[in-house]
Amino acid sequence: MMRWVFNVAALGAAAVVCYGMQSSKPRYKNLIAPIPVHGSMVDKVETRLFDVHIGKVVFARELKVTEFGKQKTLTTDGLWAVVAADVAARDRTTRVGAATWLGPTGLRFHQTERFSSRSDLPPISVSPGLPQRGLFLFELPPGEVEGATLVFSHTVFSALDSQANIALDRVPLDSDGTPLSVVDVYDLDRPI
Amino acid sequence: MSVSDAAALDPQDGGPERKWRRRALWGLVILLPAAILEMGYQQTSFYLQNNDLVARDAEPLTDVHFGGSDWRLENMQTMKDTSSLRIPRDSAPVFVDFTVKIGDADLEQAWLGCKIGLVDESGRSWLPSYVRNSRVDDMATCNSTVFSGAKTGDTVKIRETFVIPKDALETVVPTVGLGSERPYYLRFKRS
Repeated sequence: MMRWVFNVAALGAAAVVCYGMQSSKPRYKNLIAPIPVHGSMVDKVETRLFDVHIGKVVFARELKVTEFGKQKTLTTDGLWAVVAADVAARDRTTRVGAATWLGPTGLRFHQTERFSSRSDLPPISVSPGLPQRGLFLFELPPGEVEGATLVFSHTVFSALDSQANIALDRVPLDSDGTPLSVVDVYDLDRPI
Repeated sequence: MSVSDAAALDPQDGGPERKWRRRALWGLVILLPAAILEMGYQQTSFYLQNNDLVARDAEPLTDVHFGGSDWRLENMQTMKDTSSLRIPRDSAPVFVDFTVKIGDADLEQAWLGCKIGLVDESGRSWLPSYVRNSRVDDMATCNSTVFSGAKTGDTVKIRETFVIPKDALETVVPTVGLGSERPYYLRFKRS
């Protein structure tokens, strides 16, 4: 009788252990996920291929830009976030190809694709000893501004490669959560 | 008493079950490393075939057989007056000229992933960049030559343009990497 009880208990314990292992098993995408290098806006964050330092963040309701000789105004239902960042290659020519705005609610906003190719928009090609300033543009709901983190990486998904995760400084907000510093129109052709 | 129990109790003759158990354990000693090797082989060969890892030193102004063709570094020069170029401050353009006598005309295969670069003494490397200038307009590059229809026996002139910091000008040397030769690549000496 005791042996029978012991066998049932051992079987039950094995089932619990197996279930625990199955439910806690990391998924493949987690096993090969990018490796974050954390920093703040005062830091130069160093990844395997490039260094990045955020120079300025501007919020705007509209963007003005000249493309192919014609001036365009781009509107949005939310806000434009214009991030100017200094990027520098470490030991070889590389590119900073992807930027993501991680909002406080966990929502992820990829860089906008509403612009034609500009050399200061991603993918930004950088070479050793020749740092340059790049612009990273996002469309956001105002509620995703405060407490956000910016992620810069070599490509959209850089498996097992380092990526820069930079926590943004606090932004003064008005009563409805919109940044106080928001400008109506921001001219992208003006140096930032 | 069952047959297997009797075999397990006999210290002289392990019986077939015990014998196979032992064989299976010894089999693991062989099979586990073999499985790891098999799984790693594809990734290792992919890594070797896609990266310029082992340098072969080459002399300038001398034909070097590489990727089925004869490569000759003719010239590497810069410009003093860069006011007409839109390049960063404290940087300089570098123009690297090769003459290549085509041997194996299947360039799409032999020159797959052609990569001409510059490397300085500290190991920093630069890839070609576009500079709008009369010196490079209408000149062939390595990758444009691949699709140029060049035949065996043809001689092709290739120019690659780089923008590098001025402090690297003193020590940079050109490198050539081709898919059919990787992990080996050519690293030319300074003349």
